[in-house]
Amino acid sequence: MNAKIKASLGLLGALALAACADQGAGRNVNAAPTGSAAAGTSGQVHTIEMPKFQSDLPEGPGRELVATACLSCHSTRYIAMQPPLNAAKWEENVRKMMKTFGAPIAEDQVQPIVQYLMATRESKISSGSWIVRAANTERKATPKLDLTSANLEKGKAVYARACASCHGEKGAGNGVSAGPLLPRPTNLTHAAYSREFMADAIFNGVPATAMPGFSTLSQDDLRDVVAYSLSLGQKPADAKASGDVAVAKDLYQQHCMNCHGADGAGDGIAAGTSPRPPANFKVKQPTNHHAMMIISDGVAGSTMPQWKAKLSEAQRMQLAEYVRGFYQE
Amino acid sequence: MRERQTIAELLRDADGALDRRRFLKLAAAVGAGSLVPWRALGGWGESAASAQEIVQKAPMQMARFPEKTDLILLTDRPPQLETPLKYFQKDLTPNDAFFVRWHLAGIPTSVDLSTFRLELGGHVEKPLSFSVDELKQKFEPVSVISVAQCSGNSRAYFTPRVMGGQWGHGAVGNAKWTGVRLSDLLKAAGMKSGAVDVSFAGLDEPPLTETPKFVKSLDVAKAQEPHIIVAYAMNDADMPMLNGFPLRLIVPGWFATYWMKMLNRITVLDKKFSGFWMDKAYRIPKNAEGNEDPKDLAKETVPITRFTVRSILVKPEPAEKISAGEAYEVQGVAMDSGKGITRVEVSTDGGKTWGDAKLDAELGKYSWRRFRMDWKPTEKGSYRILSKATNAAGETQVQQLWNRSGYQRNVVEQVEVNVA
Repeated sequence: MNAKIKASLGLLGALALAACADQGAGRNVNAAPTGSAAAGTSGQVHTIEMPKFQSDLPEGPGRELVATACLSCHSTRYIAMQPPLNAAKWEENVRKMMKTFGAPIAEDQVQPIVQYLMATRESKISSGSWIVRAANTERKATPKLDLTSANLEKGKAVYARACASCHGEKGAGNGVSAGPLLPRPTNLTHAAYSREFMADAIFNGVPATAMPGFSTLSQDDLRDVVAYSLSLGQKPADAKASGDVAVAKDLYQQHCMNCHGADGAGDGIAAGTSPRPPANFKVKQPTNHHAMMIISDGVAGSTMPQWKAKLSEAQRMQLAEYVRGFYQE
Repeated sequence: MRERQTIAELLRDADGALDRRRFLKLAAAVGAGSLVPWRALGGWGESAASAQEIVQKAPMQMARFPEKTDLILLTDRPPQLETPLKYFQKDLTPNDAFFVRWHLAGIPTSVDLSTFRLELGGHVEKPLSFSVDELKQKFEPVSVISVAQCSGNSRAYFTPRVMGGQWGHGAVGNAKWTGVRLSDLLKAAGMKSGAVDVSFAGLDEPPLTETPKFVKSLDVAKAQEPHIIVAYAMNDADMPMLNGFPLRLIVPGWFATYWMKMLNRITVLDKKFSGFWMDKAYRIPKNAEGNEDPKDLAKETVPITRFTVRSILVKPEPAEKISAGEAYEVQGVAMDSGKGITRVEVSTDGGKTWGDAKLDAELGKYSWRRFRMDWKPTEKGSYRILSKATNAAGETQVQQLWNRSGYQRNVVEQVEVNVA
């Protein structure tokens, strides 16, 4: 057995372990509750709920780039499934994605992407895996919370205990456990959130991220930590786009609407298959700076791509202002 | 009599179907730990794939999607789900086990039949719009039992391997489709003279708008063939959403790339249709087999169209344990583009000798035909089982086939089993 095969077997072993850890005894990657039960007919409306899988990418140089360049349209399994390919073949495919399918990839990003694919597929990088994991999408009704009676000091203590290790002491998303998580823990300081949204995210967690649901917190602790988390963020602003709104709307409809929805509610046609729900701007208002950053660089590990390769700075700024205008609390 | 059988009977589990637990045990025996190496068999005339090739293939996982049972998960988004072979021990493939393949991740997860309309327009006298109920009421209902097969079915067995969905033999299924004739709809709208092509689009959309929307076309002569239907039922039930609810174009005998799911727009064109999914994708080398040399690719390609003759061994499955001295029934399915399967030969000795398999009754010219062969291996050891189908026109399977996209595989397949 040559060294290369040994290395590959090592990877398979790692994959097997990862899969066992994720799936317990069964080999079904999603538990039955997300399966056949998630379909129904109400009057004339027939609805299904798609199981959500969280894409996983091995660590290594180029990981975030791949995560923001490729995953808007397809999950990592599309890559992991392919037979062994050489660098030229991967490059040909990256270019096909750019040319034919409109992937937002800049010319100087092609080689870093190819190198990442080669390195990880040949298991030169062994940590992490390409396995997709079932993402928990089960959500319970969030308790009604009276935030006027919240105790911010107590909320801070709960936050320090339950949230700070990922979201950081001051909510900047830079806690010690943030490490290689994709998507990264949310920076809570760069947006205004509606109370309901914050309460739901804390109570139920965020699908296809490392954010768990804290439904076992006492009602008082939940209320206090929701209030404290909101206090780390921005105050909602009356956002008015400064440029030509018609142009911004046009850009939005062309590039954002299929995921974020016509009214910014995160309910576009591709939202149903998106593991982490696309941002709902009715309940989340990023700062201009933050929106600009997200639009430019994407959100690695979600389906939000980087747009700096496709849209000019002026266009991205117009979009940043435009999406802020959807907020309503 | 076959004709008198109900859909329920046609869907019934055959005796001896592998249940899930046995499947898992079998999988564990083959794989490393709890994982099965993807596609452990090579193609015709070769031994098993090299160890390196096996370990680098993605491990096999099962997943359950809405309205579906546990299927082999090729990809989760957009979903590609493969039917385990055990379901092909039935005449008709159950709706919840039928394979799934979408191109674009923008798949509607909700359809409101009160607002859903099928639009029929373009180069016609009278553009029309139908609700599903109107289709059911205004046009004669017709049914056809037909195989739906993905162009890339069995792609994982191509050597050298090619990019794309790494399907085993399970991107195929046989179902009874019920709906209205496309030709009746076209007649109602009145195609104007000079009509050339008819295009078909569904509700699905790409996440990025620069990605070409999935649209396919047929020329007007093909589109008017009476067996092509707009189906609203599959095996006498609503279609699962992931198989195209509420309407799907059924093109019997042709690859499933034309079978537009969630069909909502039919457009008659006065010129040849042009679009990525016809002009650049789903094309094969321009020759009878769709064959080309990896080192010297065909200069000319054409859109893939009709099925070639092929058979799939359903039983035994790879690595199935068989006992020496005991009677065993080899089973499989055979299909073509509608001329009709007339003969299936089976070999249990790696292709040295062949015998005629018994054919089940015909269920219609576009249905697959099941075959069976009694086998009683006397000696212990490794056996290679092969099957080869022939149709009424004398067309048969090929020994070797390769093309760059991994389409239209109809190579004589083999399954290696160990008799103990």
